[in-house]
Amino acid sequence: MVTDRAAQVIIATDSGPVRAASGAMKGTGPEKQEWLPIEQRD
Amino acid sequence: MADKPTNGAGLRGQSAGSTALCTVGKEGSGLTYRGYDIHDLADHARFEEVAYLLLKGKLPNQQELNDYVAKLKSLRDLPDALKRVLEEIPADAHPMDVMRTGASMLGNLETEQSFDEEQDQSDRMLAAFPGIINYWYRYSHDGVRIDTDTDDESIGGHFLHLLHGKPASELHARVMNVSLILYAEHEFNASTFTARVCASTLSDIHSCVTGAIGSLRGPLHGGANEAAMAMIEDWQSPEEAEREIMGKLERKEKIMGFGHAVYKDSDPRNAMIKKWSKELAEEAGDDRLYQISERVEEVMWREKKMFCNADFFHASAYHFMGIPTKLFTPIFVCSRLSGWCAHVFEQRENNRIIRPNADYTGPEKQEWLPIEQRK
Repeated sequence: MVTDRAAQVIIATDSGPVRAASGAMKGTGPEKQEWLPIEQRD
Repeated sequence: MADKPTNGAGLRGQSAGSTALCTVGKEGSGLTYRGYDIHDLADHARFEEVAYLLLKGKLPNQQELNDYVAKLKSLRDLPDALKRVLEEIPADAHPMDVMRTGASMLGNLETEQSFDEEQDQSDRMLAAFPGIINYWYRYSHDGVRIDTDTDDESIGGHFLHLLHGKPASELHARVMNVSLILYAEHEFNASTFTARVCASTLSDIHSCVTGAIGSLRGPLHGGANEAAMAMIEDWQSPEEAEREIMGKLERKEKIMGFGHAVYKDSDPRNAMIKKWSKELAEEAGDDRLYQISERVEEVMWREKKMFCNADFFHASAYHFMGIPTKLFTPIFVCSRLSGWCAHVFEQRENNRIIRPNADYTGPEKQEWLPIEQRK
């Protein structure tokens, strides 16, 4: 059991009843890139 | 008085900018960094390779990766003045306060003088942050002044080496690597938004990171894996876990590590860290915590159709590697730092100060009253 001060403030998660401000972003990067093993990269 | 607006609370679903770094929740459950699927990155890459991708825009070739790893290894030593500050912080301090102070103090000692330094400053923080938290932890808890300059090849292995005082096993270094990759970047989350708002004022990169740490410290953002650990660690069996979870659901209590603000179907990071948690349990020869975690996952899906997010199986995975619960969120910092800095670069490249409007909900007009006439 964690009993120190740090643990006492942890009460909820990102999906909790009080919501954190969180916006979305417009993607401007590449749609999809294929993984290349390191020896095949430029 | 105007009605309090209820739509779009917390800016949910609203576009607040552009990025080429990451997509989250495309088609319900996807995650990509610069177009690369998180599964490919977690299965094949090193964290240093992913940091390079985020910070420099492309995957490194072998020579570039070798050079980058060598550079990061050369930057692990902490200034004496920073060590003295860390030694002053008490053992019962919040570890995220330690990270915040460490980042800020580093910014005092090695201030970013020009945006031309942003890559080097980011690399320095990536190299030094594991040393900052572990120097404080080992000094305040064990009375030991550790040498933060190890020869470990990876940041994950370096972290575990500093914490435990001996090199990490290959398996543990590998799992830390995967964990750091999974937490590295996640689009416009609250801490990244903080970093970008700060960057938009043309502030220095240590201020951006220090502010981001402050946002990640809040229990609605970082800390979910710590909370999940605190929830499951005292349960002795899957049966007890199921009874406890059912009771919590009946009492409408919060269950930590489930659901997500953006993902609708599943969190792609969960399956990856779950697999490694199982492997760590088998290595430890004690799968109690893994079995308990799996039962909680089953019950939450059966009863509420809620899925595990990235944090839930991280709790058991970190536990199996001997990491104290209070250090879970600082590890998140050591990873997400790469995403924060990449967002700072991106903000600076095409900057306009972030300054939205607010819907005013106060009184229309009030008459000035001299102080002696007020109740």
